[in-house]
Amino acid sequence: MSSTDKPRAAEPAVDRWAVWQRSDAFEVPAPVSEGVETYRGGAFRQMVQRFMRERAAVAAVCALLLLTAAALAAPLLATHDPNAADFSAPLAGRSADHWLGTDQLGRDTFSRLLFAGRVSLLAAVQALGVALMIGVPLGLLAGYFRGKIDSIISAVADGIMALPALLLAVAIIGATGAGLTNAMIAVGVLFAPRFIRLIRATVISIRENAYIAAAVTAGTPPTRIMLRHVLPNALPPLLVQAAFTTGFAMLAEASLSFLGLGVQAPQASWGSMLNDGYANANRSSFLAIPPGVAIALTVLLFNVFGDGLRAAIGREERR
Amino acid sequence: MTNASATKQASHDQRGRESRIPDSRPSAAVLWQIGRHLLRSLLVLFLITVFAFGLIWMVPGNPASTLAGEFPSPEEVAAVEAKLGLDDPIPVQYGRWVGNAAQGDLGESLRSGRSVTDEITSRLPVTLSLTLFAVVFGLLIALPLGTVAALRRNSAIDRLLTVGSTVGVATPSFFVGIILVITVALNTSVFPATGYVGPTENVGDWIRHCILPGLSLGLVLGAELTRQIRSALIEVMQSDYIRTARAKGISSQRVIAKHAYKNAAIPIVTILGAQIAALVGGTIVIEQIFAMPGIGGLAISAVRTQDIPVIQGIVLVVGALVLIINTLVDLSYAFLDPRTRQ
Repeated sequence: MSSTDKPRAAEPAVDRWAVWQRSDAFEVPAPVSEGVETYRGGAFRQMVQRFMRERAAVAAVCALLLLTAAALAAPLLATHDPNAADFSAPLAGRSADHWLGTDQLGRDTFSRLLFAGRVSLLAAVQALGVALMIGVPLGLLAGYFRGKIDSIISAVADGIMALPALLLAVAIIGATGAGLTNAMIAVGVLFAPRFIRLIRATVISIRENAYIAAAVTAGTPPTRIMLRHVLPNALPPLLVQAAFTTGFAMLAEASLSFLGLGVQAPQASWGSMLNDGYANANRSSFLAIPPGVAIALTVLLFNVFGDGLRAAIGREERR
Repeated sequence: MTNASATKQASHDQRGRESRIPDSRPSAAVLWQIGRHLLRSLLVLFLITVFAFGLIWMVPGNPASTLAGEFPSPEEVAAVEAKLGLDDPIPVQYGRWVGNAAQGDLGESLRSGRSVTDEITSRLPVTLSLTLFAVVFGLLIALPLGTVAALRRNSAIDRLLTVGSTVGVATPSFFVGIILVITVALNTSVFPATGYVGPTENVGDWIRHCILPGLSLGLVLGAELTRQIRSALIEVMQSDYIRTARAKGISSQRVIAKHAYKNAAIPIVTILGAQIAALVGGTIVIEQIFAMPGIGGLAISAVRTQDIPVIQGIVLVVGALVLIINTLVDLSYAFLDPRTRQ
């Protein structure tokens, strides 16, 4: 990349100079020649523009924003108190009063779904945060310094990736005790290797660029190089991985809460609601459907979002 | 086999008759490759033992007093400490644990007092049966659908399958399992909603018990595999040797069966190998839904009672099994792709 850019980079500088000389300079847009590595704000804007053409992905983002808004506004949107039991109407069908019916304790399913959505979304973001906090620094270290550090970090990451994440999460919870925070920390730790691998690979390819060599020659300290030059360039693939990981984290949370190892009553998440639905499957065939659909739909939206982002970046890299 | 590698192979045979050297080289390369894979697997195995052993140190506070149950007497704490050998230096504890594990002794359950090895070996066939059924269902779904999608690229059926597999990948397998229980198991008596019968007792009952849980996992696995098979086949079908085969007048079915599948096998096997780990994780939840007495149920009850020796044993055994499968997948490349031998 750098070898083809160098000779071209000189030309627009001359062009721009000629434009600036003219009196009507402000009316003429600055000529941006193609293939020149522009300021990262420009590259990012290009990515956003490409992303906007992915219609399914844009729709997914809008739906995700709506979902988040609905979860945040749960107290306003809920028709009932999510924990108020009504023993006179357990497992009631759908009605004008209870849009999605009631559960085994007569609690309103629609209201519970909204409040549980808060828990599920927040849990997924928590796990993502833990994975990023562990994965990004370790990936930067491994990719930038290579050598022994890289071998050790990569071996551990490969080892974790080769094993069933859910089993490892269950094992960690077995030691630390059940609970949503413990569960999501475990999930975050187990998803960190995805980011270690990604950041490491990106850093290794970015390190080959001339501007990194220039920064090293200029005596810029490694931390500064990583934060100012390497990390911003690794951002697009990081975003893609983050979108997919949030979806995976939601599935993991749902599995663990379904098993009773995540969220603890009276708090509910979509996973624990699904467990209620399963436990009462012989009395109500509908109770399991809303939380199950909510999980599948949200994970689907994150995946479509990630696919669109990847397509937007892919074209940029192919150029 | 590709045309390109076929000619290479032929030239090797010809040269091989002249001197023995070209023949011995590939086998040395294969040995080196196998050695490297085994070394890497050993390293991962070491990490698994460290993780499993380290679980006891993740128990908050003093492990012995936490693990001795609620409100333990000092004697009970001391008994747990002695049982787990927590007084010794950590390297000594680790060495003893790994040494015993290598001889098949994974210790005793803190709750039932039974041998962890016996508990695991009695339940392993259930989990393995479930995994087997899931893989079979996954392939039964994905091979035809992936092939149709790849051959009819961008057609209506391809788009439908793409949407379907995207939805399938996002759906939790245990939601599929619950739906199967509600719609099938509760309405018919053919496929029971709970339990397990071993294949040695009654093969028919074994199949009947494994079909619904296997299908729950297999549908989601099949969705992922359909995508992968589609893209692997599309890539292969665009290659020169497929065009050559078609130009020679070989029928489409023969081209697909003899050339396309063979060359698409590597990415498909890779994905299948990578999915095994996720599949084994999925069995934990599916076993709970269909009340199957497998490793998952053992793990959950051990986690609820903080029965650390049982959890350690499960992590070690399942981790080693997944590792063996992954190593076999890596080694199978040498057989699937003659090029890697050279």
